[in-house]
Amino acid sequence: MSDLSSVIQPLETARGLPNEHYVDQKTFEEERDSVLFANWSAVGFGKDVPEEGDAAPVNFLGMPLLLVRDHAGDVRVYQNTCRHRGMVLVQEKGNIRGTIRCPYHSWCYGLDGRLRSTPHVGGPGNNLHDGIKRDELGLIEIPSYVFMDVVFVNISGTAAPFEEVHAKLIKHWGEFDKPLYAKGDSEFTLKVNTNWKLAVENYCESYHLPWVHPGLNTVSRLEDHYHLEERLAFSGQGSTVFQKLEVDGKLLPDFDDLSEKWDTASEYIAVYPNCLMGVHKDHTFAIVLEPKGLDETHEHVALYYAKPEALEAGCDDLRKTNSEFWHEVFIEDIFVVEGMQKGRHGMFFDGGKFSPAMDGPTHLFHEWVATKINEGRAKIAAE
Amino acid sequence: MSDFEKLDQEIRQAQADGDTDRLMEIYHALGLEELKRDEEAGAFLLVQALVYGLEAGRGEAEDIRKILKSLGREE
Repeated sequence: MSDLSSVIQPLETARGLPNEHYVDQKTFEEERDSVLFANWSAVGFGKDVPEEGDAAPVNFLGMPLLLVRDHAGDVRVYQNTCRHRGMVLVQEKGNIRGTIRCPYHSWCYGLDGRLRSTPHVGGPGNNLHDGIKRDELGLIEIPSYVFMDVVFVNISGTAAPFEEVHAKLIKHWGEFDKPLYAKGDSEFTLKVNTNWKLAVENYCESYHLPWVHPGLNTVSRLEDHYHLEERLAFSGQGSTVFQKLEVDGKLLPDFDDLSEKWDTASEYIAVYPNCLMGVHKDHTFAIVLEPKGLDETHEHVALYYAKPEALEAGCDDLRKTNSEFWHEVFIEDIFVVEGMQKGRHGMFFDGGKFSPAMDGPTHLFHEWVATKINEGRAKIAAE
Repeated sequence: MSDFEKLDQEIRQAQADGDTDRLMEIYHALGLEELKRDEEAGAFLLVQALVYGLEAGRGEAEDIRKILKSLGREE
């Protein structure tokens, strides 16, 4: 069990998470339970199930989930497992016209999770049996919440409601709580050989920008950035010199009713544990970090626009240029997060010394992770 | 090819195509016909029809459910 006492310290004296949190499989599994399953983790996007009846299976750290757009238009998440023999229900993305039918013995579930029929359960031609109580055998629903089109789940079911946990974030970015518009040409996935946390840690701070993103530095210098720090809630960075993309004199449409701040500001927040978001006056993005293993992470990136017009052919060049810009920026980060993963095998590395001036947002993430792990350990100890 | 063989082939083809609408239609018609002679055999076929009808979101599924319910075989 790792020693986290040096992590939960003031920024000036703290060390980062010990090496085990990046290179040890048992610690990875501890984090899966205490950090990712016990909190609100991002597992997908609402845009993946845009129409009523759309269903998308997601395997999140081995947990089979099913994202469904129900009849009311809401996203719901179920354990993707039949209540009968444990067969996985849906293995490919598609549209459910009627009920979800288990491919094994054809137990049928509604989009609301209710068990609708149990064919031949009482013998051939008889769908009834006293021992089968349908109202006790619906799909297991996983608590979920959609924020800026990202689908968050709390697999353990023990976290406080998302609106409560992320109240400060929801308030901070309330101006962007509007419909978002996505298109298939504005999304991509990067497969990175790193522990998922290193992608968060790198995203939180602007310290690396002059060295890793020289192109970005020409439009937004290090001194134009500010920290976003809400202890035990979220962290990130902002810039005061956002410039709208212009292609052949054309601009993307802006969100309505934004305050003046957003004329020049952009912000980038890590929504703990595994979602990275950015907002600008004409687009947002979200990165869902899918931990595939101890040192393997898939970064699912989705860009969103402010108005439906942004998805029309007249904006094709703008979207393409914007998508390519962010793709290049995120690619530039890969050697860093993969390099830190390699460096974590250095047996004398002590978690690292933070810059008191520049690494505050990253330190907050470490502190949050350590706090959640300690909570998990306390819970196990009490059981 | 006998009628039975034809029917078997049609069901196999519909299953291979994932054509749940067709599967419901085949089993529905067969079930109603068989029900006149043999409740258990007819109910079996109607259960098959119900499942595919539910999956396909077909309105007929409700009619089939009502028949099975009247036989004490469905809720």
